[in-house]
Amino acid sequence: MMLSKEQLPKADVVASICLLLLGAAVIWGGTRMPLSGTYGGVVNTWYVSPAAFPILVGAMIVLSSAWLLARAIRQGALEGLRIYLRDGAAGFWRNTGVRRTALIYIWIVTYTVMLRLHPFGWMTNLLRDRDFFYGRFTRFCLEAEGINYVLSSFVFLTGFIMMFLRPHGKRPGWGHLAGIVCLSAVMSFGMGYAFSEWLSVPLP
Amino acid sequence: MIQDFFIQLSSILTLTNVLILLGTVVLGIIFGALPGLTATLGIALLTPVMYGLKLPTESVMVALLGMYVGAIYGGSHSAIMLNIPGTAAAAATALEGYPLALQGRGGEAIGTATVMSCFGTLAGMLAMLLVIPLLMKLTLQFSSVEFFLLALFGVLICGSLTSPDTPVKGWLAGFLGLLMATVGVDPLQGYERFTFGIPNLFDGIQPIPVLLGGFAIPQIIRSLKDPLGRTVAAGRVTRVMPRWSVLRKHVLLSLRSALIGVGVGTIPGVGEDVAAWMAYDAAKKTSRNKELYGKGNMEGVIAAESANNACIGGALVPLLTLGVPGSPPAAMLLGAILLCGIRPGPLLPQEAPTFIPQMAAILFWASLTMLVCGFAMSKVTVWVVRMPVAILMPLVAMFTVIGSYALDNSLFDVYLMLGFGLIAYFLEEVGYPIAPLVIGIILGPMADENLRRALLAYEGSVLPFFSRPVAVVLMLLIAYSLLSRTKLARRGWSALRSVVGRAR
Repeated sequence: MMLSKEQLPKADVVASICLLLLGAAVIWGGTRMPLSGTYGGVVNTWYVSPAAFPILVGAMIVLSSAWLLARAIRQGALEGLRIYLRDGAAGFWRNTGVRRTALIYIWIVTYTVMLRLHPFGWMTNLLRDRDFFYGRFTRFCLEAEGINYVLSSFVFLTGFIMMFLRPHGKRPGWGHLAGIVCLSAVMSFGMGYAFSEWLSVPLP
Repeated sequence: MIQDFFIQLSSILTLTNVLILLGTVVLGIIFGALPGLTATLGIALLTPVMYGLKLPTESVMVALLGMYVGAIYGGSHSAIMLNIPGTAAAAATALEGYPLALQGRGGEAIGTATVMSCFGTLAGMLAMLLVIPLLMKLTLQFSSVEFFLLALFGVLICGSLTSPDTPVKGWLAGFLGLLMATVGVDPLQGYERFTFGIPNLFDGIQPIPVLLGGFAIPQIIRSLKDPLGRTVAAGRVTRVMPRWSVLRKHVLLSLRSALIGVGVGTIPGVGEDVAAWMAYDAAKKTSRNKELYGKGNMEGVIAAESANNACIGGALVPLLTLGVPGSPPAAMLLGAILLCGIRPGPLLPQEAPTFIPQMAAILFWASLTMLVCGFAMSKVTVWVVRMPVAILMPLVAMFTVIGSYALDNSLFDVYLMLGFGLIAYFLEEVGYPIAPLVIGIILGPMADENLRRALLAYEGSVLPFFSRPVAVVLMLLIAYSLLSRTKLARRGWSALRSVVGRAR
């Protein structure tokens, strides 16, 4: 549990309202499924309907989250939430923890987007004119996926490590930076090559 | 079963398997020792690699069990020397191990933890061999009614035990898991449920990318958001051998702790951390030297380490007999077993007769390998543990992305992993445990199919849920897991106790 005891009831209100809505949506979605009648050549009764289990689960979610919401309200969470929304919500993005969380997640998403969009795929054409790789290395490096994976991973790792590495509480020096670049290069190439050539996993 | 076990002991010992076992146990110990890298995550990351190598099922299981055993044990190294439990299962070990290390007995504590972890794993394996045949006979009597109730019980008890302060949050997490399991084409009638027309969802939500996201993303964010205040290592690791007189003196304690570990392991979804804490608590309550607890008492290390490793064998019992994982790493293992085309459950001895003795044999060799590697690596791991999380976690993130892609060569799985990772992070932040959610995803199809089959078999009547003997027992267990934490039940218990007290 990460939030403090004071913050938790407020968070419970928000979470339980979201879950309550989700449960209600699931029940509504369930009622749109064939509850009885004929579907796919099968005569339905309520108990074999594909809706039976989702409706049951939706009902359990609604009941549990309603209970949780009622408990949080009894603990005075609504008043706390009102005060927070009036006074404290503006400071949400100024919280270092929140900003770090967003940064970490966005960086991982960016990496996935790089793997999807192939921003380095064009480099294959540059390398194709050079004749200094042979055998498996040539094949791996000349594949757009291979080179894109290695360079995207290199950018991802270098950026990620530089963002958070603070040796002895200070920013990394030139020596550390050189180390980070070398490590990122070795790991991104090694991982890409191992997956592509040894594990026969086509790279994204 | 026992005879098959002895046959498997020798037949799995091929050169490839020995090398895989050695490599994965070493990797597991490092994984377990590194804070933030858990056994579940280790198995999750190793699964796509093993799957990609297209190895036989036997070798895949050797790798995954090697990782499992190594990682559960490895947490003790950093717990003892740095007061940083590498895994939650080693948190109880840190309470006694670190003070021992400060007294210059760190090596001895690591040696004791190594021997006890080996003992615990072997005890768990033995319990598994003895209990599984009996449970298999019982499960053959199970109908859809019992399987549905078992799945529901698994989700609810896991919710209750992983969220002791607010069990309703644990149950809600479990229900969310059950809900996620309904996504996809309905297996009975072929109706698309909650797919929103996305073809990748027709086969349902794949558990492995979801588990990878659920365990890796929150861990990466937490480790980098609030970097751990590194504690200074408590001196150098000197003499690693345990004192045999201490071990002999605590044979009963280690046996009892191993039994607690096996028992906790058999409860669906409740992992090695609960086993270690329960055994530690029991040891403290019954000890003659209660005042020494917290100041460096070897009894605490013995209890916690034998229990958490014994939990592995215990967790495999419901996994293999019922398809219900006993702990989060076992849930991951179940995903890998299903990927290999093996279907755990009552019919497993008919469908794959050698699989259960093979798993026991792998556990046996894994425990011995862990014993040797544990002694050999005690000085190395303390050095490895000092690797900054700012280097470690980006590597884990990269591996998580490629690992979730590699299973099905699909970027959709990566999106799924990322989306679910974020949800899991927020849920954990507001106090919802992830283990019941995972158990819900795994047990959801079992609950869904069996509920409808049961109702179909009895033409919509719910009477069998309350009249079949095993179903009644399961119903009582469900009622217990729901009511035992409520104020009403607590008041009822205290009233009953006072009435009994007065009657005496």
